[in-house]
Amino acid sequence: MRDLLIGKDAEMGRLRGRLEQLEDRTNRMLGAAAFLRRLGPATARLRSLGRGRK
Amino acid sequence: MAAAPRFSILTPVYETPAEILRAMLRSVAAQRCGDWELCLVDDASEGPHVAEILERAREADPRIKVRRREANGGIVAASNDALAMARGEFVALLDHDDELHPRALDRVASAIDATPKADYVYTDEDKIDEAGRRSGPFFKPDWSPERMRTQMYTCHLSVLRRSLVEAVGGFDPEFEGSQDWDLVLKVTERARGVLHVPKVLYHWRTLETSAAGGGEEAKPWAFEAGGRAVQAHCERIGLPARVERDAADAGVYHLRPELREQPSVSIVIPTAGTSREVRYERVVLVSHCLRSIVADSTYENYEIVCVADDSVDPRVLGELGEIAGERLRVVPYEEPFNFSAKINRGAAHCEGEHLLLLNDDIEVATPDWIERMVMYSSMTEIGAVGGRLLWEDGRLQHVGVGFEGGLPGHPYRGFAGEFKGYSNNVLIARNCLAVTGACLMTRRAVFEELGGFTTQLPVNYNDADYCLKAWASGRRIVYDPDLAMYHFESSSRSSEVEEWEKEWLQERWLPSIPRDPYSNPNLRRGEPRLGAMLMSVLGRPRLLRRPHREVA
Repeated sequence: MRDLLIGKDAEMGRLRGRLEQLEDRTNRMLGAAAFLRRLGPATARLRSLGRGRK
Repeated sequence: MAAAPRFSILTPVYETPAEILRAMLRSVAAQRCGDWELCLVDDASEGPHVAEILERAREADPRIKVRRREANGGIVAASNDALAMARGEFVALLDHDDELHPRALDRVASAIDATPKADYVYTDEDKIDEAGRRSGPFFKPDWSPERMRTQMYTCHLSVLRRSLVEAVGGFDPEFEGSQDWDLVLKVTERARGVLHVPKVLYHWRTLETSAAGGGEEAKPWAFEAGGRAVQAHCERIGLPARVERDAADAGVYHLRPELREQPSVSIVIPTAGTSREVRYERVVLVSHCLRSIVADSTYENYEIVCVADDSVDPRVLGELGEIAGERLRVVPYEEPFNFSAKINRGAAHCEGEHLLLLNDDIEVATPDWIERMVMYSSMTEIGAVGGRLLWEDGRLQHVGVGFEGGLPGHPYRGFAGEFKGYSNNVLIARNCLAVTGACLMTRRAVFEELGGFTTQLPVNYNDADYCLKAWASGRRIVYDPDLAMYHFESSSRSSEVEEWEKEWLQERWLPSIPRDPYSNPNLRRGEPRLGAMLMSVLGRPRLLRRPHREVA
């Protein structure tokens, strides 16, 4: 019984570990998305400046 | 005769597809730094286009020199022929199907200008496919000798001082396929300085027939030769180890210790005699730890010094004596809790040549763990050694400490045990700025020289601070992944770090160590920043897609 529980713990550990990896990747993506959103107004301003020059 | 150039680019050529060969030549011609010569050796290619393209390139640019071998001699013979043609102060290695970034030589030259004693310079690299699409950037750490023995991580672009390359005998035919790894190992054994330029300046072509694209299947002998090159290096520097290839990953190697003697080791274990449930069994942690050391270690010449709080039950101390017998020495500790002071107290009672600092909630999972630590710790240039620590459920707890903003962190903490990490970081032995004090070996002489653990840090960061002291004294810190231990961590410490502890560490170390040299500006917590990945993928060189134009 104990061996069975230890085996299940290891299995759970693998799953929790993968979940942790996914969470980390998601956080990185969200960080990048937020960065791009912050860039948004700036790039729009640059684009409008470019149009103004034409 | 014209003055010798600064860089001689060595490029052995064999049966290169025409468009790819032209792209390589264009990438050289596009160098912002013009102080180069290109030494091309056609290794008796049968395709007539090769000689024709090389000849045209030679006619178009006097800096391009071409030699054709009468018979095919292989990469080493052709590389040595190219080396014989070289007149430059440095040689840069460029494969016939790869491309240089336009600023490759320019940036390498600037790095050398800033550090004239540099004898070897390497840069970051990425892959490029036949259509010119870039992928898989490899953002490398600064010079990491321990990593270089388990992974040929410097690879491309490599630029070496020519006089040193000639002094070590050039490219060695004994290591055909991994001749570059062998050469870099030999050169760096003698180098006065090694520089890393953290910019992607080399694009490695992924063809079916190249190691970049086909892996081990494309060049199985190269991976075998790599192991032999590292073995020869270990013998030259007196590192008592046998090199073994990783069963799953062709580019990863492991060092198995083959110690000729067993210096004395003192294992220092501070303990409060705490008990908790481990694998569904209530245990006294320190007893469990000692039992696993005594039962599972293959090393023989060690003593155990337990620094015990006065709260430890005398029955526990009696049990420890039964487990460890004459190896055990108990040192009482009656002052208020201070982990650093406990470690220092234990160390003062040690007789061993090496100190092995161990938390009492550790369980041995690698029988030759002490041999592994001694193998590294015996090297005079090593300050501390640590291993791969796993939680009870097999997840990663510690794989070397990384620093960001002057504060230490555990990359990949909580990830699955089989996670390999970016560029196999978890699987390979390598240098880092610090390892956890939960399982750390250091020579006693070094410990005494550095003044032991800093008692102003009673709870957190004392291990990181110790490693930084060792690093600042010119010694390296080593992480060995093959030294795995279980760490039932939550029971032994709180994860809360006080604000003053952070400030203390930053004030002490940030001015002198502003960034982690074993990370890369493009990495964050061990993984590439998305922005850096995007820049790498989007910033294609386009050299292959341009209409054909000869080198001019």
